[in-house]
Amino acid sequence: MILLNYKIMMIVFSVIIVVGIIFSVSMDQYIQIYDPDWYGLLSYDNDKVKDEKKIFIIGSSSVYAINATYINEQLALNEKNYQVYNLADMSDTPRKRFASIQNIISNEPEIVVYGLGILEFMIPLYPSYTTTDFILNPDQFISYQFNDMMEPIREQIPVSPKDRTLMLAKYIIRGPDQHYHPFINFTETPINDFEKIKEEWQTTSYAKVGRHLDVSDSSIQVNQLKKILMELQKNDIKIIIITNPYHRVLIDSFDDSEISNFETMLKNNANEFNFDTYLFQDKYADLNIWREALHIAIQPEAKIFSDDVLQIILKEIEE
Amino acid sequence: MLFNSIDFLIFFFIVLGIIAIWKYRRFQHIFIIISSFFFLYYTDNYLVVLLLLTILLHFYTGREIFKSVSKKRKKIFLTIGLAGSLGLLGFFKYSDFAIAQFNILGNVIDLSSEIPLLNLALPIGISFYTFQSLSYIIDIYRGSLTPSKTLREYAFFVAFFPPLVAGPILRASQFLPQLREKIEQSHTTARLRQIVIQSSNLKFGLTLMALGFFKKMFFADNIGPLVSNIFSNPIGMESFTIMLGAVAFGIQIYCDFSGYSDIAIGAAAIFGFKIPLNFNKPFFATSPTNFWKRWHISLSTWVRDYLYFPLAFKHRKSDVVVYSSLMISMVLMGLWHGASWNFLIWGGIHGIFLATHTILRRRYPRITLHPFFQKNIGKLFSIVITQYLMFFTFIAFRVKDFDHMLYSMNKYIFIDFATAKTIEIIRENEFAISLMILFAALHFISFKQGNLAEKISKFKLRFWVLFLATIFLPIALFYVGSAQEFIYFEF
Repeated sequence: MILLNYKIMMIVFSVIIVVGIIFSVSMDQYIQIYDPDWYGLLSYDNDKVKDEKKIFIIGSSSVYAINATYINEQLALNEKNYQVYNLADMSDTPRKRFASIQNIISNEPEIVVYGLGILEFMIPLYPSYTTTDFILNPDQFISYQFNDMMEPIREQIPVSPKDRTLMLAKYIIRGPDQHYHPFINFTETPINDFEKIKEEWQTTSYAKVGRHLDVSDSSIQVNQLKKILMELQKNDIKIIIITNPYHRVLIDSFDDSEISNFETMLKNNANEFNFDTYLFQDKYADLNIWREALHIAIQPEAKIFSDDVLQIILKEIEE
Repeated sequence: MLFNSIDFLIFFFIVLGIIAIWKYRRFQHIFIIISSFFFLYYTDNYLVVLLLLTILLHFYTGREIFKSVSKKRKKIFLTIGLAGSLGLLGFFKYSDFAIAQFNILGNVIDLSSEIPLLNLALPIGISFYTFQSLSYIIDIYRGSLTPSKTLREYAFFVAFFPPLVAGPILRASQFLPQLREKIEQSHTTARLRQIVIQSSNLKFGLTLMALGFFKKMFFADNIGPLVSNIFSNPIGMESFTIMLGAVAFGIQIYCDFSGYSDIAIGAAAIFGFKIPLNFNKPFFATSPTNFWKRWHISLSTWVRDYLYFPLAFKHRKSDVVVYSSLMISMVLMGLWHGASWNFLIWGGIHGIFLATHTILRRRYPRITLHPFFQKNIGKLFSIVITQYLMFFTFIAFRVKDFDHMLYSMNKYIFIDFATAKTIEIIRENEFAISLMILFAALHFISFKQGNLAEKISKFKLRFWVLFLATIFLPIALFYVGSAQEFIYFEF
């Protein structure tokens, strides 16, 4: 009986491990696994597509509100022969993006517009606990004790595995929903009440656990960013960095000094790798264009972000 | 500690491992009691003291009730036990609701000042362990139960962690004999039973737990957003959208709560304890009365045995007494769910349905024997009508805003036959809709197959592995991103 119990438990743990492996592969590598050539996005049988000059916008979901279709229309009106693709991906960080950077390079874009936000460089800030705090909050005590072990695992799990799986399934079955926005649905999202967004922010995990930015040279994200920049530069791809815009409530939750350190880090990299940087983090912070604190709504009234990126692209093309 | 969290899995396997290794009965019992207190303390921190108070109060009042010779003395101790437990429950759960109603009344009659709300934290699981403890002293008072001889035994019954936070509500008469059970005569002579992890129990328990996680994390958590989309502001929605929302919420809450119950029953089964079923295919109920024999069975039978029968039994031939007892029982059952008017309304509607069904049964006792109701089409007709009514009640359960509730109920009853927005919502929520269809198919299979968990647990190991993988993979791939609380944690 005891032997059978062990066998049953071994089976359960084995299934958990196998499912965990399948899960992490499909979550982490999902950009690559369905087709290394991003079938549906770029067809190499089509000479027109092959020969067109491409601009890729990459970054996290904070840049998916940039309307690539709209920018393409405007570029055509300005007689610029470029095609813009918004390849923003959910919960993207330099570490995750580095895994798919060869896909970007192999598709030979002329320009890569990289949206980077302060959140990509953020790490949880655990306050120092007293014994009383531990007694009253045992769950926090446990998470504090195992934080170093859990953080790298947590980082590998996307914000919503469900969304990612559904995207992948849709992509396999139907191809991309939007040709110029293959990885995140580009459907309209509402502009929500500015004050309500502030209230809701307080209930998020970002607001509950203190956070701070790690933009030092020892930061994994900073190191991965440098590798990405190096790879792009090596392949003669022009780089433009834009910082992701956020709602006022989010910007105000960081010290000015931390944001200043973030800007300095970008400036140092800009000097080293010779690219232009455009700071957007608080440019729209007080405008009524937000779906929530991290994301600008997808609405005609909120196209200011797309307009600004269009101007940057036009300027860079003309240069 | 949420069942659907890594914390719980680690906790559970540590407890299981230690119990499996250390086979001394006394140690096992004490260890499970300590683990159960830790389980509640981890979630509720210092409010775990209320569990301790409840255990001490009922253990000693139960003993005194049993020892007392005079009826009067028995009554005094029963009253102390009831008042103590219900007092704690009332203070923590209902005081703010009562103050708010008092303030509203004060405004109506123009009182100048308001009583400030207490804003107390609701102790998790208090409604469940209070009812569990009440049944213990009432059964002793009625003479149908012998009290626990040791505090350890009683603490084990009340604090046992699998059903502690959200049920099923255990009955001492069902659980204590299991604790006292002897091992097979051939193995021991008179020793009380130790906890032995048996392979059949382990496999059955793990199967049930896997199904519970599947119901909660795959179905309930993924259907929830559709329900929120519809009921966060239902004004302007079409009738079919409201119906879709009501059905979606019915499925969500069933998967959420029966998922929790399955995990609790499965976890208890691994330790060798049988906890009775809490749900039995409620969406195949053929009448409101039948529905309550299939939905939250541990609560409905509790209310029947300790509230409805005492109210109605003496004058059970009087229609008025029976109907009013049903109404009182169901309204109080609504109130048990939460200190809010919508739960009272929910309970009231169920009371009306049950009373009406009872009237029909009394007036036309042979109606169910009519040939139409003996045929499949007749049974299907009963199921459809019953479910239409039951899903209607879910609107009151889900929608707290009074105007929103009235609007939704109005649309549910007076169908407008508009479809444009409903089609749009279906298109926007393809995944949730697909899950609802999948759920309906699985629910039907489970209805036809009887006890599915038991059948699966008897699979050969190589097929059982496939079952586990089939369950775990969609849970992982369609995980919504954070552990969602069980709805019944609020109660």
